[in-house]
Amino acid sequence: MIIKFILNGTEYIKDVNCTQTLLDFLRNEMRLTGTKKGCEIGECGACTVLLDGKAVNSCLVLIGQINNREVTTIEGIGKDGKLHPIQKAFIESGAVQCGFCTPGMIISLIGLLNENPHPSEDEIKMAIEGNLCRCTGYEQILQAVRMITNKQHETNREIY
Amino acid sequence: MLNKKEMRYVGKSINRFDAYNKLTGIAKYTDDITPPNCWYGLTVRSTIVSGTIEKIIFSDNFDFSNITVVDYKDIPGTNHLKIIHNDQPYLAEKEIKYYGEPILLLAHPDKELLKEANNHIKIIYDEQEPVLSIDESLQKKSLIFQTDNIFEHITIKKGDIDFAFSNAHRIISGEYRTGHQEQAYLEPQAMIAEFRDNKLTIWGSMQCPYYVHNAMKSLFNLDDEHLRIIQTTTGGAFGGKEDFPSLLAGHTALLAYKCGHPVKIVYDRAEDIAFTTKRHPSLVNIKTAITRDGIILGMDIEVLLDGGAYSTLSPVVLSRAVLHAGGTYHCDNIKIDGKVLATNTPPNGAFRGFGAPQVLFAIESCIDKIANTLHISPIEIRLKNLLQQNDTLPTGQNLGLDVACQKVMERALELSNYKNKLQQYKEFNGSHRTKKRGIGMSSYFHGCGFTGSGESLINTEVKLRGNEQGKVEILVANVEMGQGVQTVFRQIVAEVLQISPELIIYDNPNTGIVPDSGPTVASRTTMVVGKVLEETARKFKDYIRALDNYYNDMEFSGLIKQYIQENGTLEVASHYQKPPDLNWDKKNYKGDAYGTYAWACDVAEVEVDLLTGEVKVIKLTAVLEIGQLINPQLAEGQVQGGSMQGIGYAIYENEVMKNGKILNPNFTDYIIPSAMDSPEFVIEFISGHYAYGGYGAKGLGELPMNGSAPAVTNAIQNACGITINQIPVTPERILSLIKPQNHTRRSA
Ligand code: FES
Ligand code: FES
Repeated sequence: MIIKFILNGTEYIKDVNCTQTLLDFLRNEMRLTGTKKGCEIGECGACTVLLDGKAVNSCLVLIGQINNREVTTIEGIGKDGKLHPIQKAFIESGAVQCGFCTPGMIISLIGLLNENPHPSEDEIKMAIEGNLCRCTGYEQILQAVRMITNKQHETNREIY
Repeated sequence: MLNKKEMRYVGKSINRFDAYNKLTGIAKYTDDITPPNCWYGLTVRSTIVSGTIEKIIFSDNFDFSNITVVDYKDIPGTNHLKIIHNDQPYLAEKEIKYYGEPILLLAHPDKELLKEANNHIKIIYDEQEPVLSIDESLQKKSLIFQTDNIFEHITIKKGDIDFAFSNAHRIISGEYRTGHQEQAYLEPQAMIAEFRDNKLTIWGSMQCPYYVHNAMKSLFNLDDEHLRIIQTTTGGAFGGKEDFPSLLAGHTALLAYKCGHPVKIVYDRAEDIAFTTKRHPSLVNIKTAITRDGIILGMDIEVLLDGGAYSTLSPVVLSRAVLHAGGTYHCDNIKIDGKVLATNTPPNGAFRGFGAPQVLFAIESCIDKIANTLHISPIEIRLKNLLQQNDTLPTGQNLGLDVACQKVMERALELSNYKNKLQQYKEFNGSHRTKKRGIGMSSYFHGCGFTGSGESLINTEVKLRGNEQGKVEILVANVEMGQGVQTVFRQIVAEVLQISPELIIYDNPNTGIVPDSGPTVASRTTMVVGKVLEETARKFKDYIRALDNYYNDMEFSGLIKQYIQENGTLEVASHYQKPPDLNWDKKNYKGDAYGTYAWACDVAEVEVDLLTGEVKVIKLTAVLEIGQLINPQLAEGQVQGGSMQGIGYAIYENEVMKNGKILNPNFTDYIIPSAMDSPEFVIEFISGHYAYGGYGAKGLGELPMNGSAPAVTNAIQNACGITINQIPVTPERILSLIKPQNHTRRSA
C-alpha cells in the first residue's frame, strides 16, 4: 500500500507493508530507534509519538492509519541540537534515570503542553498515566513539568 | 572527617552525563542495534511444569532446512550456568523443572517465520507431579534438588533463646508472607552475539559484564583473549539483569556459533515476565519474648524462601535475608533459621533488596503487632528496642558508633508531623464512613556491599588511564543502568584530581578493555568501587606529579600528555583493600557480616476506600543515613524510585501463579505504580561518613526498597484497624480483611 505522510517535518511517499505497526515501521524501516518498545500492547507508553500533535502509542497504530497525517518522534523534537524546554527541565530536575521511558514521556508531555500550556498537577499526572517509569517514582518528572509551567508562557511558544 | 575543606564536585547535584543522549533518542539500547546480516533468535520452552522430555518431533509440514536449531548437544563446553551450585542447564537435556524451561533455540533472519517454526515443533513429555509451594517442597512431595530440596540452610544464634522464652512476660508471634515481585525494568532483556575469527563478542543489557564473561568462558571453552562482553545502554535492571543475562547471552551466542551470523534475542514483555527471575516469595515466622517493660528479650525467627526450580543466586539471597531478619532492634537472645527451597516454578533471583524486603516487612509488621498487643505506640516500642551505639547484631557484629536508626526515626517523626497527623486522621476517620486515613512507620537498614568476605573474593580492580588528548578514562566493569554511576564516578575522580568532570571519560564497559571491578550489585558500586577509584585517582595525581591544586584543566591535560610522551602510556591501577578489623566467620555466621550499614526510617500516610479496598499513598517521608552524599539529586531519585517499588510491592504487584504458570505476564494485570499513584515525597539525608567508602559514601541503591512496604501496610492497619500478614495487600484482600471484622462487630 502506498501512503503519504510527514515524519519529523519531512514529507514521505512510501510503499509499505500495511500489516505492521507504526512502531515497527519507525524502528525497522525508518531506523528511528528513539521510540522504544516496552510491551507492544499499549500498556507502557515507551512507544509514544505525536500523531497530528497528539500523543499516541505507536504500537497500537497500524501504518495505514498515518496516511496523510503528520508523525513526530523524539528525533523530531528540539531539532538542530536545540533541546525543547521540557527536555532541558528533565536534565535540571534529574528526571532521567535508565532513560527507556524518557522519549515516550517527553512526547506525552509535549502532547499535553500543546493543548494545555498550564496544566494542573492532576492534569500532568493524567497525561503521563500511560507512561510507565520504573526508575524515578515520577517525582522528578513531575518537578520538571512544574519547572516550565510555572515560568512564563514564553517557553511554550516553540512547542510543536 | 577526611575532607574538611569545601568540596567542588562531591556532594553537588551536578547534571547527569547520560541524560542528553537518553532525552534525544540518541542513546542506543540493545534492540536499537542491528548488525548487518543479523539473525533473530527464539527460545523453544517446555509446556509442562515437571517431568522429562521423551521425544522432540519436527513436523514435516514445515521446512526447517533454513532454520538454525540448537539443542544441548551443540554446546561446546559445559551445559551449566556458572553461578553458585551450577545446577541450571542452558538447555534442558531430559529433565524439565519449570514451565517455560528452555529446550531448543531457533534462529532465522525473519522473526515471523521463527514463530511459525516453533508451532511446528512438538515435544512429547512424561509428566511428573510438581512441587509448587514452600510447604510441598519441605514435605519433599518430589525431589527437585539433591536429597532435601534445600538450596541453602543458614542458622544464626546469639545468647540463649530458651532462657528468653522461659522468662518472657508475653510471647507475641506472627506469620508473614510475601509474593513474587517482578523487576519490571522498562527495557526487556536483550542480547546480541557474534562469532568472528573465533572471537565471541556480546552486546547486551546487563549489570555484570564479568559474570557474562565467565559464563561464556565455560560454555564455549574460550579464553579471555577470545571473548569481549560489551554492556549497551541498559534500560533498568534492579537485579533482574544480574544473573539472568548470563543465560540469555549463552542462548544468543550458541545460535550465533551455529548459524555463523550475528544473532539478536529480545524478549517481549510476556516472555520477560513469565520466564525471567523474580523476587523470592517468602514465609517468615517470628516469635518474640517480651518483658513486662516492652523490651524484646528474645526472638526466634524462621525464614523460608521459595527459590524456584534452580538455585541461581538463592543461597546469597537467603544470606542477606537472615542477616536482616532481626531488623534494627537490639536483642540479646536470638535465633534465625533460614532455608531457601526448590519448587517447580521459574527460578527466582536477584532483585533490589535481595532478601531484605521480605524479612523487613515481617519484622516491621511484627513490631507494630507487639505495640498493639501491649497497647503502646509504634514509636514507643521502637524507642525501647532500637539498636544503639556499641550494640551487637545477631552475628555478634559490634556496630560501634555506626548506628543511626534512632536518629533517622526521630527526624522522620518530626518531619512528617507524625503525632499531629495521627490525631488528625483519627478525627478524619470519625467523620468519614467509607474513607479511612492512617499513618504508619518502618525502621530499616541495609548491609552495604557484598556479605562477609565477598568483597575480598571479588578483589575489585580499577584503572585510570590518561589518553593522548589529555583526558582521564575510568576503566571499571560497573555499569550505568539508570542509577547514575556515570555521573557519580566522574564526580569522585574529578574531586581527587581537581579537574572538571568533563575531562573524564567513562564508556560502557567492555571486558576486552576494563579490569574486573566486580558486579554492579549489592549497593556496592559507589561505596566499594568508588573508594578504590578514589585511591587510584590519588595515585594518578602522584604519577603525573600534579602535586598541588594550582593548575587548571588545560595544565592538567598538559601534564598527562607530557607523561605519555616521556613514558609511552599512563595507566594506574589499584585493588580493593579490606578494611582492617573486618572479620567474618562464614561457617558459624559470626562476625562482621557487612563493612557498614545504611539506616533509614519511612513514615507513610494512606487513605483507604472501604468500598473498593483501594489504597492511596498520600505522602511518604523518608529520612536516611547513607554516609557522604555524592550527588544529592541522584540520591533522591534513588529513594523516590526505590520507595515506589516498595509501594508497588505492598499494594499493587500481584504475580498470579497457578499450577506453576504465571497467569498475568503483562502490565494490565501485573500492575506497577503509575504517575497517578505517586505520593508526595519528603526526603532528607542526615549526615554520615564511612571511612572505607568512596569519599565516605555508604551503599544506597537497595535501601529504599526495604522500608516503604511495611510503612504502607502499617499505615493501612492504622487506618482501618485490620491486621495485614501478607503482601501484596490488593484491594480484594483489603476488602476480605475488612468484612469479617464488620460481621463480628455487628454480631457482638
Ligand atoms: S510499546 Fe507501545 S505502549 Fe508499550
Ligand atoms: S527512567 Fe527508567 S523507566 Fe523511566
